[in-house]
Amino acid sequence: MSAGEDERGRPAEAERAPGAREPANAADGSATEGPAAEDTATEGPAAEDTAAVAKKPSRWARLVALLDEREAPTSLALVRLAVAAVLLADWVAVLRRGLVPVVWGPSTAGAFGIADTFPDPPLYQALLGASPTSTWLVFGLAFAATLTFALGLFTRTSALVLALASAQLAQTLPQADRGIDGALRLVLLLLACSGAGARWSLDAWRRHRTLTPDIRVPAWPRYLIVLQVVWIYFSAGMHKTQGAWWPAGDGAALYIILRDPHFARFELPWLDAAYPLTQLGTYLTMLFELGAPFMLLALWYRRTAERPGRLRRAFNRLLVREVWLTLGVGFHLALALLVRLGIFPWGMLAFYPAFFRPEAAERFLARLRGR
Amino acid sequence: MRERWPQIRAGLIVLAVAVSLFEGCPVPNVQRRHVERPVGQREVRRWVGVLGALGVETTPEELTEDAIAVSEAATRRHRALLAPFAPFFALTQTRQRWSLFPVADPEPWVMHLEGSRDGRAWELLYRPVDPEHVFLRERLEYRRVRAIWNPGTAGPRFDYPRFVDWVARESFAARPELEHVRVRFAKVRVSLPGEPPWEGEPSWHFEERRSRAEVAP
Repeated sequence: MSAGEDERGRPAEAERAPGAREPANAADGSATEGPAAEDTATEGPAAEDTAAVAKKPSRWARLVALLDEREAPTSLALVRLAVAAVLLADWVAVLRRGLVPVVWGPSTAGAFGIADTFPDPPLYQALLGASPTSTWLVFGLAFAATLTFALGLFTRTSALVLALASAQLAQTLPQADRGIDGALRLVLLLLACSGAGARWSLDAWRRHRTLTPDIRVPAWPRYLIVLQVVWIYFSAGMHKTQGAWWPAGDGAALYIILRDPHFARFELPWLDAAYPLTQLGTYLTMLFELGAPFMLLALWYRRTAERPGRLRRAFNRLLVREVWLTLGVGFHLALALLVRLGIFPWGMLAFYPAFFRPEAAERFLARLRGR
Repeated sequence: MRERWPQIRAGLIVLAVAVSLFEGCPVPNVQRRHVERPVGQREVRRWVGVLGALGVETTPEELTEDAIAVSEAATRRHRALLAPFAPFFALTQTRQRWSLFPVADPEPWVMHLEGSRDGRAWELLYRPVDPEHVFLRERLEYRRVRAIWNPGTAGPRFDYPRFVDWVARESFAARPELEHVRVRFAKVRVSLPGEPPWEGEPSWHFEERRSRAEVAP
């Protein structure tokens, strides 16, 4: 059993926020009133109504309660499996091309790994020296940790080891470490603090003799993954200050990128005819990225759907969450199809299960299985 | 302690999020070499126009100097405030500034890998998006290798010469008849639909040559 879980899937009393009545994510998956409604319950039934009116919990208490929530590990386990699949594919790609010693080998051996000339080399080089052997050791460690992470064996330790081994490789050749590698490391660090290994894992099997034990794990790592993904998009949008991304530059950015031979996957002879479509794609990209923070609002409104409010009703009626996620999936699939960005589209899509509460993820999986 | 744990954890999470968001602030990184490129100069002229429309009169030269000065000052301040957390970011090699194609350059580079028996007649071996010339394509187009040879907005990467050494060794090993290898980049222009098509000759940049003897192990 992971730290902080109990067999019934409910948090131990001592682990709840002071005054928290029940985790907001109810086991039946129904929307709840959220943390705002939780803090008065322990005052006892007689005092409940009066206390609720007299003393609304502070924002801090509500935040503490929110971060103390627990849920089934389904969504986090899906993120774990997807992240592991993307990383394994990338490691296999570099292995298959015989590029491990080329990319991360020491520059003194004719490879690209420039870190051996730095005054402050990566830890593994300081300890083992810069050599092809030490490169293979770190790569092997990253590969093995990816496998154990995928299998859910010592999941938390595997995630941490994988994040740190990947960081050592990044330090060896910083310019070959792309944004998506850093994003994957950040999510790995969050998964190392999570119960992502509590489902579909050898850890689950070792502890419960089933791959799908009925337990609950802290929800905050999932919330932080959502926040991280939203920030990635919003930050990317903020950095797009060049005119080509805006109407002043004719929205030509996507067209120009698709014509850039270093990134385009194909020559696209029909691209000129599709110029208005590429302009639309440019504006949708900006809308999607700069509108990312509204996704947080959409998630909150979805979660508190029973509360009043016109904006809440409008968000839920217009399916803002679904529209935004569909746009994101379309955006990444289009990138994967048309532009050579390595694992970037797949890595980002690997984080998407975090946008779904476990109950929704389970319903989706059941639908996939035809049940 | 156990009763306080939810509070402590919430405090730690808030701290982590606050530091991450601060690290991710879009502090401008304007360097002279960025501004000197055509795409940079176009941006400066555009911003002069935008500022002029807002009633702020400036010239491209003044704006360049101001932008560089503000960028340097902001970067210094940002770095100083993050210094206590630098070890974490260094250990995990993470940052919170994300950009994907912040600049869509209408004057992209096209890498050419060529081989020769005598150093005079050159045979094109590899060029991106050219199905006729795909020598070493799988390895050259692997994302981490492309990151080494693909020039940034400010020109070639600092380990570009080592890339040329490597690709020359690979070429000589696979093609025993070759005695010379060169890598160079054509600068082309993407014309937008409606613009007169660009029919100029590409200019050539960053040419590096290696002979078999130079890269022999």
